[in-house]
Amino acid sequence: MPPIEVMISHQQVLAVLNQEKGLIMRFNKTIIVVILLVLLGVAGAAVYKCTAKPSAEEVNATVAELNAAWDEAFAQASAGTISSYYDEHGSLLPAGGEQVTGNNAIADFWSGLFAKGFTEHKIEIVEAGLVGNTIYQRAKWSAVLKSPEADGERKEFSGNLHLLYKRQPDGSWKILTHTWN
Amino acid sequence: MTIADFKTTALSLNQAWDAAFNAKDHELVASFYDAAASVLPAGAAQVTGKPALVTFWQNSIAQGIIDHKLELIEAGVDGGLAFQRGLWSAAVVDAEGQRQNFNGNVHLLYRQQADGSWKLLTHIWN
Repeated sequence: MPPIEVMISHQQVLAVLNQEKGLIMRFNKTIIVVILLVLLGVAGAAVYKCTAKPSAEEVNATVAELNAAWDEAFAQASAGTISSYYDEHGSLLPAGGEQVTGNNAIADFWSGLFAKGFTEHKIEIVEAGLVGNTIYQRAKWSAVLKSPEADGERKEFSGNLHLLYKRQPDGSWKILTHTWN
Repeated sequence: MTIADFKTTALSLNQAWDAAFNAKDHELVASFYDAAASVLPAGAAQVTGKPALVTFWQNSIAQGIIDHKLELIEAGVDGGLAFQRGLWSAAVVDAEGQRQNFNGNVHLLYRQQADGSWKLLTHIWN
C-alpha cells in the first residue's frame, strides 16, 4: 500500500493549488482596493483643501499679512515694493486726486507721497470677505506727514479704506482697487 | 456674467441709484444695498446694515444734497461678486441760494442676490 499522501490525485493537488491561487488573488484585490480607497481619500482631501471656502479667520489672517507687508513697504518708503502688491490692472482711487491705473503709475504715485514726507501708514481691518477669486477688505487707515526738518512737526491723517484683491495664478493676492477717504 | 454684461447692469444700477437719491427716496436708495452692506463715507465712521443705511441716506438727503450722478469708469465681475470704479458728483444749494458742486471718486462692490439681482455690499467715495 502506498502512503496515503501518494494517493492524493493530481486533480486534487491542482484543486488545492487553485484554491490558494484564488485566495492570493482575492487578497491582492483587497490590497488594491484598500490602496485605491486611501489614494481617493488623499486626493479628495487635497481637492477639498484647494476648493473649500476658507474660514473667516483664515481670510482675516491672509488680509492681516497683506496689511503688514503693505505698511512695512510704506515705512521703508519703497515705491517699487508697494507697487508690486498691485495687480497689473490695479487702480488707486485717491482722496482728492484722479484715479491711477497700472504698476508704473502706482509706483510714481506712492513715491510722490514719500517725497512729501508721508510715513507711518497703518491699515486696521474692520471686515474682510472672500468670494471666488476676490477678497474685499474694509478698513481704517492712518498716516503721518512729517516735515523734513529734524524737529519737524507731525500731522496725522486718517480715514476709511477699501481694498479689493484678485487671486493671482500663483495663488498670491494682489490689489485690484484701493480706495480711501 | 461677462464684464460687458455687468457694465450694462452697472449703468442701469447707477441710473436707478441716482433717480432714487434725486427723488429724495431714502427707502428706495437703501433697498439697493445687501442686508450686510456697509457705506464708508468721506470723513465719517462706517455704516453697516439696512436700518443704519436707511437713516444714513435719510440724513444725507435731508442735508440738501441734490443732482447726484454716478459715472462708470471700469467694472469687473468674479462669479457672485462685481465692482465698479467711477466718479460721483452732486451739489448743495445753501440758504442764500448759492449752489456748491462736489465730486470725487467712487468705488462700488456688488453681491449677487438669490434672485440674480445685484446689490451693493460696500460703497466708498472721496
